[in-house]
This record gives sequence, C-alpha cells and structure tokens, in this order.
Amino acid sequence: MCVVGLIFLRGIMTRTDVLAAFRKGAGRGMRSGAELMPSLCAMLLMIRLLNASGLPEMLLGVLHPLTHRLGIPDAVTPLILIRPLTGSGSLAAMQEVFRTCGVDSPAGRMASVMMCSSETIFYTMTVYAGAAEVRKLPGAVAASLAGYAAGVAVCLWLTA
Amino acid sequence: MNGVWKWCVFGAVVYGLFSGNGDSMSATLMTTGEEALQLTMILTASMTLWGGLMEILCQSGDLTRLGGMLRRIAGPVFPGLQDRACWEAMGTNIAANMLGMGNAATPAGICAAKLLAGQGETGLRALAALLVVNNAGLQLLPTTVIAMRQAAGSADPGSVWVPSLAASGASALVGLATLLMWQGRGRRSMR
Repeated sequence: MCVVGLIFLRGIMTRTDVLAAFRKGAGRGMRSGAELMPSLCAMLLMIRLLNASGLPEMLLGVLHPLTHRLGIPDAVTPLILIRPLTGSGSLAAMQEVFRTCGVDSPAGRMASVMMCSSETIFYTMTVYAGAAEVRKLPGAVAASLAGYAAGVAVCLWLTA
Repeated sequence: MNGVWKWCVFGAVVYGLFSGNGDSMSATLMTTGEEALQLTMILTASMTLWGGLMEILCQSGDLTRLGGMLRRIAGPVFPGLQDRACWEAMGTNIAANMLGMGNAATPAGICAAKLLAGQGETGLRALAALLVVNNAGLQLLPTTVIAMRQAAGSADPGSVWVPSLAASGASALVGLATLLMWQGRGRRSMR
C-alpha cells in the first residue's frame, strides 16, 4: 500500500493528470495481457503433458546416481527439476520438502534458498518472447540455465 | 524455445502412450485451455491495474530517473541502445523484481520486451540480458519463502536470506557472463 501512496504522491507533486495516466496505462496493460493467451496456452500444454506422461519420474530415476554423487538431497531433486517450469508447482515441491525433512533441516534450507534464487525460466521466456513477438532470443535459455546451475551450486555449498 | 517446446511435447506424448498414461494425458488436454484462460485473466487483471499505476510514475518523470540509473550501469554493454523508453521499462522491471513486486514487474518487463523488439538486433540482445537477470530471481527480501518457512514452523525463518542473496548473485553473474560470451561469438561468426 505504501507503494501506491508513493506513486500518487509523486503524481500529485508533479501535477500529472493522474486519472488520465492511469487509464492510458491500464488500457495498454489490458491489451498486452490478453495477447499473451496463445503463448501461455502453449506453455501449459507442455507442462501438463509432461507431468501426466510420467516422464519426469523416469528422469529422476535415471539422474539419481548423479545427484547422489553431487550431494543433492533426494527430497530436493524434484524441486530442482520443476523449478524452471512452474511457480506454483515448485512452491508445492518446497512444501513437500518441509513436510518430509523438516523446515530447518539441510534439505529444507536448501529448498528455501533454491526457491529464492531462481525463477520460472520457461515461463518468463514465454511471456517476454511472446510479448516481443520473436521466436527465439539467441543464448537466453542457455545462459539462464547456466546461471541456474551456478545458483544451485552456491546453494549446495552454503546450506549443506 | 521452439526446439524445447516441440521435443518436450512430442517426448511426453510418446513416453506417455508407451507407459500407459494415455488416459490421464487425454484428461489433462481437456482442461489445459481453460487453465490458460484463467491464467490469462489473472495476468490481464494485474497488468491492467499495475499498468495504470506505472503510467502515473512514468508521466511524473520518476521512471526516467530510474532508467537513467540503469543506463549508467549497463549502457556501455549495449552502446547501440539509445531509446530512453527502453531503459525506463527495463529499470522499472528490475527495481520491481528486487522489491519483490512481481505483479508490477511483469507489465514493465512486457513493456520493455515490446519496445526492445522495435530496436533491432541490439534490442533483442538487451532483452536476452534482461531475461537472464530476471531468471536469477534477484530479490532484496524474499518475502514469500520467509512467510512459508514461518508457516511451516521454522525456528529461524529469515536464516535463508543471506545464502539466497549469494546464490541469486552468482546466478545473475554466471548467466550474464555466459550470455555475453554467446553473443560475442555470434557477432564474430556473422562478420
């Protein structure tokens, strides 16, 4: 609420036509929001089909020797895999770690730090690339994933 | 994105059919469109509201100052990017993200994406950098996670704050370094 107060204060101080400005910006926001539906639908289709297919569980099994060697707690692996894909899904995965291992356990702390230090990479990509109406941004996915891996590594180092 | 999407959907369908999950996948297909509509409505609602509030800040001249600040830091990396509105939108997006106001960050980011798309190649390179910074989840105070830790009965919910800042910072730095290397290579090969 402070932010809203501050915005109005600045508007009044600079004698801006606050109502006209709000309507102009709101109209623009509404149109760009509605235009995002095709991109969002495409992304949801991918995530839901992946979840329903059982492919992630198979991947978890395949990756287990690797994650074990890296010292990643088993409970946290699903979170690491789905974090780039879905925000609500990864919040649920973090809750699950809290429930099974405890909030203040190393796994619980690691899950918390991971949640804070990453984003739903594919979601942001979809939304921004969709808005810019470009099909690809060279290097953006790869660099984001490299950054994500670095974040996970620091996470492991600081909370294990 | 196209490659990721194409192979993920195809891979999921093939694996699902072979492992006998075809039925649950069909059921999912029925609800996906509806879910996309709900998500769009939520996003449109928040973008209408925050788009309006942002425009007030824009017309009062504060965004110009914010954009100027970002330009002083990142300007040298994108010398071709002269458009002031682009810097304003990017500055707003990063500031809102740092303050944990995701609702306000998304409209600013979308605005930045649209403006940058009109700036040709340099604009798209800057947009990629903006995305990488966004994807590192930089946030001064991670309120959602701290609240959830508190709700789960943590003895010290705020203890994850400093490690989170460190992990975010590392993620942003490594991401940006990778991106700049990638973009440098791309430009050389074009000559």
